[in-house]
Amino acid sequence: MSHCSFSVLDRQLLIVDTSTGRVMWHGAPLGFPVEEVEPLPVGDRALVLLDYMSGPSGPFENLICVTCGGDVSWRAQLPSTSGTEAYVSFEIQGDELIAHAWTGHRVVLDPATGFLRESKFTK
Amino acid sequence: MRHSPEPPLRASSSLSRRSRRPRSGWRCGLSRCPPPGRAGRLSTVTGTQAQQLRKASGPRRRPLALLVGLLLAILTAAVGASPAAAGTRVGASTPELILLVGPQTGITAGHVGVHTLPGWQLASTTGVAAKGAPLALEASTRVAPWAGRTLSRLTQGQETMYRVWGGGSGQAGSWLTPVKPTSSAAARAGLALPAENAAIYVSEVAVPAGTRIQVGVAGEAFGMPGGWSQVELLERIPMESFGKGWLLGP
Repeated sequence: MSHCSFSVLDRQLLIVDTSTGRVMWHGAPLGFPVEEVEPLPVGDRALVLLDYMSGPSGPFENLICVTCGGDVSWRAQLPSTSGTEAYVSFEIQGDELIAHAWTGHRVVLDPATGFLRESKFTK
Repeated sequence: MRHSPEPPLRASSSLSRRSRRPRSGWRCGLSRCPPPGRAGRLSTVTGTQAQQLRKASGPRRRPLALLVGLLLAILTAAVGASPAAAGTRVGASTPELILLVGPQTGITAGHVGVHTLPGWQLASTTGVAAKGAPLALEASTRVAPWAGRTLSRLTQGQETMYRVWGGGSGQAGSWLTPVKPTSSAAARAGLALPAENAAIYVSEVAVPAGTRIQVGVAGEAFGMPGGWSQVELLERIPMESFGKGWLLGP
């Protein structure tokens, strides 16, 4: 049972202790605005998609995993080295993390590490 | 990995002596080379000379010797140009070939680009002999997305395009078309979509002015003929530019 909850407030990540209601962390992870957040089924962590438009030019590792303390535990590996590469969406299906990349790749990621398990070009 | 400094190339092989020998043109690189006068330049080794060379070094080793000699000439020149260069020494199983690789020489086993020959070994930059190195890179699995020439341009104003998606393909992405699709089958064929893109939906995309795009014709791929006009966004555009999808007919 997770002891913290994750939500987005004004494009910032808000992490609250569920037992006390105390704010544990609030802000922009890595300095970028948040697009979407979803808690992982196990462990006190959540997946956070940072706004791909806010990142630097070049590949942007904008899918991250955040702990209750607001620390980034990993950044998801990208499927290509294209200068426009970034993630545009993600979803959790069972124990798999599925994500779509800007370059038209659908990838399967390891939710524990963010490593790429599989990548398919879907255009 | 730190490379321990080593003295310049001073192998006790005959290569060192030969590399100082004043002569021009072809360098043999083997311990049993024919005299320079008989070998002449590489381009002039023909007829009788070739027979003499074969006699001198053995009939079956000649093509190999030419190849290795050429390689050694190139490498000797590279290393010799900077005699103080030190790097990890790459040893062969025989004393005839010593290569210097490392950051100072700018040469790595990968740069050399030679196949390992029977009885020879190439070491990696760690200085450890790499046995059974792969002979070739894996074939690329990339497909050619374009048929013929493409044009890169900036959008002058906001331009309306379409994105076909569904199944394994997401709503936002860099691949678009200016053609408004009327059916899933036509879009899959005309845009040469892979099977993972089920082409269930189409979204209208408002490409902002000043966006760098690549325009061309979709090439044949994934068993689909292609042929439709196709656009690749060469920079990211906001998620809001991608409209809600509507269902494409079969």
